Amino acid sequence: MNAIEIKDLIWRYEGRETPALKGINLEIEENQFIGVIGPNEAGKTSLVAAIKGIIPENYNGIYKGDVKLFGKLNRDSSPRELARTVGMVFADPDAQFTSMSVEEEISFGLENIGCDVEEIGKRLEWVCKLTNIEGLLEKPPYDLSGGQKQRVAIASIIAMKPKIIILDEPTSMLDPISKDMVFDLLRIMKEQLNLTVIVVEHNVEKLVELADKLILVHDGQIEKYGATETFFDDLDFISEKSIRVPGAIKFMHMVNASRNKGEHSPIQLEEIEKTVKGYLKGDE
Amino acid sequence: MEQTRKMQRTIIGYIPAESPMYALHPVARLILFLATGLLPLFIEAPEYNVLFIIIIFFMLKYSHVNLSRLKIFLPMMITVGIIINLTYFFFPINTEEGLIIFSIGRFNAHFHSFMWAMSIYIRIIALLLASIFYFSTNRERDILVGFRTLGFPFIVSYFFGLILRSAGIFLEDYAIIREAEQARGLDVRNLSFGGKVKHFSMYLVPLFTLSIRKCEDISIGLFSKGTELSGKVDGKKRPDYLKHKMKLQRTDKWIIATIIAASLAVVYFDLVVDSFSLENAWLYRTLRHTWFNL
Repeated sequence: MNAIEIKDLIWRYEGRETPALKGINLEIEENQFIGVIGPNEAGKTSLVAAIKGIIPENYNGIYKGDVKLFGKLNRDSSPRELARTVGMVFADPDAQFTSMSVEEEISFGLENIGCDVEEIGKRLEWVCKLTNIEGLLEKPPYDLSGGQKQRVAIASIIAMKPKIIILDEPTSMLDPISKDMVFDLLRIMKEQLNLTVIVVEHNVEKLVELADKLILVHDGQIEKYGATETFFDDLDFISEKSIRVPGAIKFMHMVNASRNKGEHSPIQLEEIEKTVKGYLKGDE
Repeated sequence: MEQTRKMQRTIIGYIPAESPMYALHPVARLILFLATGLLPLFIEAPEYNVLFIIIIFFMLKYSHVNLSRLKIFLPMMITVGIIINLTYFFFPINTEEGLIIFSIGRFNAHFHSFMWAMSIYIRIIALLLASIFYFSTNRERDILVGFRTLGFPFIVSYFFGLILRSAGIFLEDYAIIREAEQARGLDVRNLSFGGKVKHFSMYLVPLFTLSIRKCEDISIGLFSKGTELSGKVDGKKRPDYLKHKMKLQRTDKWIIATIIAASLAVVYFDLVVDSFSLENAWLYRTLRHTWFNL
């Protein structure tokens, strides 16, 4: 079943001359891990905001087209219904921390969707263990690092058990170690939780390790949408769209080109390492 | 360093990491604050309010609050004292009885005005210390749970919580801007008082711009978590996990009952028996007798 169906979506922010989204058509299947890449101002955030329903609910502008979540138009859903279906984590960890302690922050979303207090207790325990934030429960937001705040933000969304989780540049304001921790969490989400995950991210190296499919957004349009393994087969096209292709992928392309290998090159580090070792040993 | 480790930060200061006060439910602490803060306002007699102040000092000590931090409030206490006394010196009340302590030029220090200024000042100090005590032994979430347990609607308590959160974000942004200016070589300590005021007003522009942007971010964050400010979910009362978790114990109920009884007694003795009026105060009568032999 399709988790998300977008048909002819056009969105123009009030006061802007050109639309941020120019006729988007997209179908995302259930339980897929989707990476969204693209240069700044390409429309990535607008796209995921439209999926979450933030657009057009929280912004003024011109909206045309349909966004359906599990077959239901999201403009027909209340904020509560949307929160039960789709959760979203934003780039700025401060802006989404609205409570005065981690425990309250996580329970707040659960209270909003009407979980009873016993269920909230159980989910708190489960999500804290899953995201390794057990020691932070009593802490207020100003006692947490950026990385810890982002882990709490992710935990608070996971606890709500939505069918879709969107993360909009979740590592853009974090230091390298915190970035790794967030990607570890994303891996846990992919491997242990049965849900559709959409991650907008500039760190393509890390994203290709996790994503089942990638979406390339450029100038308000989806330029490419496909399986991660074959996504980088046409490197020139990707580079033209201002995407920095990871060095390891470029290297593999060059190696394969020099060896006249026609098939697509591996993109995940482990695979690349294995292939290169094989070549060095003399395997074909 | 040892002292710092024993304290935990809050938006407006520090609270002890461990304190006997934490055994009490937040609502019991809130009622204690309301009693210690508001009752002095009913009492004009300075000696009773001094007694209140002494009790609050004992409570601060008992609660492991770092008393050395109180010195930051000293300039404010002194300034308030000076302003109140000068106000009553230049604009005296009850001058007809003609009891003058001293004169400066054509201005006279009238006894009743002086005592009234003292009464007001001590009441303000009692309220201030009660507030310091409350905010030095309660985290923000305790305050919110206290409000909710008292029956404040979700919207009110949540709005108050958002104000606290916004204050925290505002202060964090202020610290970032200040550090950025220091990194570019600005030493605010070398500025005159006027220069500091002018400089602070310059901070306000970026701070308010950031605040407006963050307001928008927070409102989107609230929308994305399905927040509806009705206080109801699917027609039923909104669940409250923290309130459910922090249950009132028998000790809390006894303490609340005692505080309410004591407060009612104070109000009764004040309004019906007039025990706490300034004219009936022991200090008032003693000083009147000592200075004017009346």
